[in-house]
Amino acid sequence: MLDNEQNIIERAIDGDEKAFGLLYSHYQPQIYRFIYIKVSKKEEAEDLTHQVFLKAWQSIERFTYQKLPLSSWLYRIARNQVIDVYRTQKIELDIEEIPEVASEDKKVEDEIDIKKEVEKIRGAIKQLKPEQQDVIIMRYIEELSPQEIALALKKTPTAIRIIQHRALKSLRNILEK
Amino acid sequence: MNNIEGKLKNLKSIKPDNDYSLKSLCLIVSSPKISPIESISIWQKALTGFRLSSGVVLASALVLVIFVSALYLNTVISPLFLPGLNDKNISAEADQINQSININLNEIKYHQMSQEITKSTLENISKNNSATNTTSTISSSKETIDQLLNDLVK
Repeated sequence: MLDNEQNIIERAIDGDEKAFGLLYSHYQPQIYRFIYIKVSKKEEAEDLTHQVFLKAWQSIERFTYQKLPLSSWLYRIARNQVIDVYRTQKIELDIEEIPEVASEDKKVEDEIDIKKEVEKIRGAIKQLKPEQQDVIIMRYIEELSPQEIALALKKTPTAIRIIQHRALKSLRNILEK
Repeated sequence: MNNIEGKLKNLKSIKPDNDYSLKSLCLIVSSPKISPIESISIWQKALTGFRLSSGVVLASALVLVIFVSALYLNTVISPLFLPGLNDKNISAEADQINQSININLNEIKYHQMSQEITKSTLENISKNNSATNTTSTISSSKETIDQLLNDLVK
């Protein structure tokens, strides 16, 4: 959560582009990651992330009517975007594709190893149920609280913990194969 | 389990391309907002008010229509309102039939009485007539004889 986030949101609602830019810079990477792990291609993740923030900009005033953190609201939009894509087209699993990894300070060998590891985990996550994918990404990659995840997925925190437990178990089984 | 959690944290290294992010942000903030908050709140309130009032009006109109049609159907279809099964109508019709029967009986009685009277009168008349006729015939025959005798005498 950003410092003085409420004020920034109010300014963005009033049409302040800089304020929205601050929100975008803070939340865009995590929304991009969330989408990228769930879809196959980088271009698709970029398009969907753009759509998420376009929707957020055009309807940010509606956010004030809902009592939930901005991150949860953005995840809801992102999740719906991904679901819409799944409905309209079958997304193919592309394990070979190597994602963009920010590792400028590391050596090339390490970089390749990390990329392979990242791709392996991403492939494993994609084998989980969509709901389990959401929880794993939000809880372990973005480190959201169960309450925030519950608000984003419209579930109770207890239900989130149960899904989290089952998802981790499944993920371990997949990775151990 | 911790090993998996550590591996998952590696995924945080996935980041969007900087150029893409800048272009995307520029495109987003340059796009017009669909509805500013003021107009949305006013329109939402107006729309909500309209929906509520129109809903109440429509519901009451529907109830009225149902009530009126139920009443109409009750009068048209209900057996209580059929003229053939109405008590008052039946008794009035029975009274009318009774009266016509009474009238017919009175007429019959009248005809019987008048027939008897006529009969008796005719009998009387015939009796009287026959008596008067005999006497008159006798007297007339006597007169003719007298006249004939007078004629002979002359």
